[in-house]
Amino acid sequence: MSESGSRNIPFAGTNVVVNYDGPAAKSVVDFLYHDMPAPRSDDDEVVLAVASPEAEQFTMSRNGKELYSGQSSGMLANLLVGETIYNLADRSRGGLVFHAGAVSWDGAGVLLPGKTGAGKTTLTAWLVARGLNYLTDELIYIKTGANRFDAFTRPLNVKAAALPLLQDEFAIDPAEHGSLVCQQATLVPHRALNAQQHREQPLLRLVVFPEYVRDGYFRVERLSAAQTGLRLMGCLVNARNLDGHGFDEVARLSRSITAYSLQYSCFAQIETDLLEILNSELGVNE
Amino acid sequence: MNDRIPSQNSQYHLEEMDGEVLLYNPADTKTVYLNETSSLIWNLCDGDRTIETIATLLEECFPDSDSSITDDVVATLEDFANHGAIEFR
Repeated sequence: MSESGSRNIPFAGTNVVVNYDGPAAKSVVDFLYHDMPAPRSDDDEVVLAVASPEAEQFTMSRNGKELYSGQSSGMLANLLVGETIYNLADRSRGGLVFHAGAVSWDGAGVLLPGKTGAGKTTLTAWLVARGLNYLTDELIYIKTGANRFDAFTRPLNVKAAALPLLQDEFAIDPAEHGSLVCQQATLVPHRALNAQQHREQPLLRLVVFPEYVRDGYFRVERLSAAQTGLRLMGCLVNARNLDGHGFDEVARLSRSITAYSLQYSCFAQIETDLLEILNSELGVNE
Repeated sequence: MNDRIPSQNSQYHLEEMDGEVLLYNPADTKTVYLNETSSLIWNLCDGDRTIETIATLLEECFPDSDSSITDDVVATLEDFANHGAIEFR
């Protein structure tokens, strides 16, 4: 099998091409984009390149400009996936791109929108470990006028501060599951939590806005459509590319879904209430 | 003070949702959420009514209200103004 080649990452109506050269670079690309479709695309594109010219030596560039040179496959993976996401979101124009985790159950989708540090990955991991289908812990796309969404599926990006919590809860051993580690985060294959993942574009049914507060109170609250719209606008990452900054579309979406805010500090707090919500909205039974 | 006339900033896009309102200003990308009471006050800012007129109308609508409606109206309008959603003249 060739150790150099090219990988399309089409998402949200745009495309990033990742060129790789060398077995270690190919391995990182395969690890990150294993679950993403890779058809040829005529969409406008950005070209990223990763290479491993020698063992334990990596480089990365964007359109010819060097962004990384070093020895850490974990750092390369983090930079590559971050750069991919940035370029996809930055260039998407045909719909709403939200900073959100997402899972699905029987064709129905659950969004977990939030800014960095809100607990998206942690809550997504918890749901996936309970049998829901993993879609993403970072980015989703809803084409204008649609109620189904597409997800940017990548390994779970567990921040350093959250790793002990997940290790305690799910007995995840990063080394055992082939995770890639760097100082900022550990990329954990989601199949370590649930091997049954499948790709789909579910109907958006439920939105839960997580807020992780260390040592904080537990609070779950049903949101009105306007409260939902306000929060969704705060998680919309491509507003400047859209007509009216996507406000009308966010309002349309907010009227059609059920939404909750969820403040938590540990998994024990959410066990009962969140499962009850999932059961009543989606028919999820543990 | 209460003879000031609040008028809506026409740059804001508005979505009414079940009695509540969401305002969005593309110029500064601010989104403002108005609960039912604030929405009512917002809708009374027609560029003709003074603060006092708005407060009087609400006192007639809610005669049993314990709190000072005028104070609440002023506070809400100041909040709107801080967001740039209204201007006083």
